[in-house]
Amino acid sequence: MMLVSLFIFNSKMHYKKFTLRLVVFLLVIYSLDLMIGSVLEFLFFKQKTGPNYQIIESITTNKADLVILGNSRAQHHYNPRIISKKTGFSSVNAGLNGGYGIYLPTFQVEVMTINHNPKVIIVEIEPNTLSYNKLNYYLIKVLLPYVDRYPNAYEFLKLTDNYQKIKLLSKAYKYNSLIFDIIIYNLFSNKFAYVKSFIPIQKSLNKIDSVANIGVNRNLNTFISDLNMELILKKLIYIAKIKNIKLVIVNSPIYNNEVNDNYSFAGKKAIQIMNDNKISFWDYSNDTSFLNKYYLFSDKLHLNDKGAELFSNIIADRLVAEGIMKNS
Amino acid sequence: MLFNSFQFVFFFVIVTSLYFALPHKYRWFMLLMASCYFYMSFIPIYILILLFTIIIDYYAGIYLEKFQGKKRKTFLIISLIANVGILAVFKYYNFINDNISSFLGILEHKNPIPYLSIILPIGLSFHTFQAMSYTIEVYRGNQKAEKNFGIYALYVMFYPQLVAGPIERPQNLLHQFYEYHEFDYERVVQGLKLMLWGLFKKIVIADRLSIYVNAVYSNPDQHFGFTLILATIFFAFQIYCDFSGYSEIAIGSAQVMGFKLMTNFKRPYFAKSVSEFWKRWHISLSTWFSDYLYISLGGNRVSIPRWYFNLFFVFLVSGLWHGANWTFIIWGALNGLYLIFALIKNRLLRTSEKSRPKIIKSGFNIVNILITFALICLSWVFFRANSAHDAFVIIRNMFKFNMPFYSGGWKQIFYGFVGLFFLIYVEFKQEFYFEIETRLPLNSFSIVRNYLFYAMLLISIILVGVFDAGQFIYFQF
Repeated sequence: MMLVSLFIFNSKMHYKKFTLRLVVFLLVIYSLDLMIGSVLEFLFFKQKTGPNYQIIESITTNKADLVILGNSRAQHHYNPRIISKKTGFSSVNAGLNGGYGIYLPTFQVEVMTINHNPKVIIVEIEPNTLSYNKLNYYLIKVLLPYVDRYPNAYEFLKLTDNYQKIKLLSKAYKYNSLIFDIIIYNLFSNKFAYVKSFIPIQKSLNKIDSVANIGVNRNLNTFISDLNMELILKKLIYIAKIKNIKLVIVNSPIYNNEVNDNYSFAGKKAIQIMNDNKISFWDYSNDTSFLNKYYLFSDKLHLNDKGAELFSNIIADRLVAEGIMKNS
Repeated sequence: MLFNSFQFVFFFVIVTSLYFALPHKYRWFMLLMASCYFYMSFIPIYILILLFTIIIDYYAGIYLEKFQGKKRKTFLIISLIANVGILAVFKYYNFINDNISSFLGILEHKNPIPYLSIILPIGLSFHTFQAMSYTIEVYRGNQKAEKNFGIYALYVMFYPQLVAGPIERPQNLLHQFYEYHEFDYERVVQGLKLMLWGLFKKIVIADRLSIYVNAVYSNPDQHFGFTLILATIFFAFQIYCDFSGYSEIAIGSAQVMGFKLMTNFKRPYFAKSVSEFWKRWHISLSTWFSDYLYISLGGNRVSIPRWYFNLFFVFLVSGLWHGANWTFIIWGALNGLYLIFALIKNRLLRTSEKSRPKIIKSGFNIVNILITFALICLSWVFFRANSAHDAFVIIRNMFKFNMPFYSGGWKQIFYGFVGLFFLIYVEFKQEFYFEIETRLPLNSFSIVRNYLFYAMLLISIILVGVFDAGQFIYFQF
């Protein structure tokens, strides 16, 4: 009996000690997290080059009339200098390498229009990418560093997992996997040239590659509709409408198309949403000026510098021709 | 439910709190229910497979104890057939069928045997081996048959080690379910620290290294020289941190509730020979094979050629245990050959280490550690490669140094090296400086140092950890 009482007494003492020390430990964690997170936040928004800066600039200091948004195909295909020269309007390419989905341009448009409304926004989207893709959700975390300053980022981040709200209690978590970028782009900013975000690719597909079957081989049946991505597209269209911005969605050229029907059910649904909302959708995926012209491509999905030059001219001409941007 | 998920954090807190809140007599039942829930969070229906083997082994244990003579052997065989049979169907059926198809293809015949469209139950090889160790030990008379069906089921299903070990022995674990574990501050904190260290190894080191490894190993013919060497070294540490990280979370979470699970890893990359490596790597499996297969074959108390065969055979089976693929079989065979060559070398070149000066001895040790690591890395190529063909391509390309190095953007290499240096520093201290054998990374009584160290470990997980990277490598076995 005495032994049992001793056990209970001991246990109670241990619970008390444990609870007390756990509280202290949590306080230490909270302080360190806040301290490190704040330093990283400061350094993150201090970057003057690199991929993160492209987003920061597009949503903060950008004052261009025409903004190009989207993924790597946006970044490598649209030369803002050519577009500005032909249209007479200032333009900026804020596309970003990395396969980010529709959520990134939507977030950028939502934030940039707080201070400045561009006249035209071009969003580079391959409509099939609005289908369900696990990677789409994984990559939404690119918006983590912005959530404190721009809380609307949470609308996208909450789609990633059910525990995002808990994770966001940590300040340091918002800079997860970014320490390397923060160090490099702060310390060596002069080593990374930044030319209005447009990055031309110098290499070309060679003839051997072009003869080989390197077409865009897709099984369209595997593309499943994604309601979240459709809603984000609708949101993008809605913001453009209420802010009176001309929104143009472009699917730029690809090297070769193996399938006759370009679009999956999900892709067609995305196009339907654009049509229903009278959004210009310019599809160059079957454009004969580019199809199978290996010397205009760096790989099957990306134009090289020559291809980008040709494509930028075509886009600029069309913007003028359709009266979207009238040459002054 | 993965150990590196938020779901597990909630599960662990609830189960542990309930464990200490409940009276002793209800604890085992709560743990059994929690373990069922844990297992069913993967593929619920597969619990029936587990239940099937549990029923067979439970009754086999009782009858093994009850009967004498030939009947005992019959019950043991029934139990072993049931366990190995399930493994054969779920793990090896399609592999065998695939090889039959290839063979018949050479003879220009079609294979009439259909393929099974099944998913391998998670951790099947682990809990099957744990169940088999019970019936074998009862048969050998080292363990009394468990009369309480629930306790026996808990022995097989105990959630911390259910899906990836350590593969426990009944003598070590069963009696612990009857013991009363009070809330002990030191033990609970040590367990939590071990869990944190395991989590760090998994999501900061292993998952980070996996990004570079996957990029290289998924295109083996596009990479050469240093790229392949670095990817292979990274994989060696990835698999170590992934698996030992899992084991540490398992051991830690059991320790919090007062259960002692066996050590599974003892800094294997400090091994000075391949045989020492296997005494430090996946100890619960190595000892399982040693206790139940190697010794049953006669161990080393046989003729020398037979001894070598026994060793080779055990490693071949160990390879097959890991996966139904030729890559694993070659991996096992290669390790078996390493050991045989080492034995032959030791017989031919007997050298006395005692006569060497200390500095020479240290030099030899360093060289031996590096050679062992290189040999183990070579075997990991087969373990990681997607096919035997890929593995040979990788080994061939490894020695072509005039090709460009693939950095993958340097970011992953940077994180990889930072993690590795920290791990090696910690393990070096554990190996050579800590006075008490410990699995924990810090051996300090200073409260401030402890707070800061473990807080920084947690912050590192938050800052550098790869979240949502997926399951542990060994879950697939």
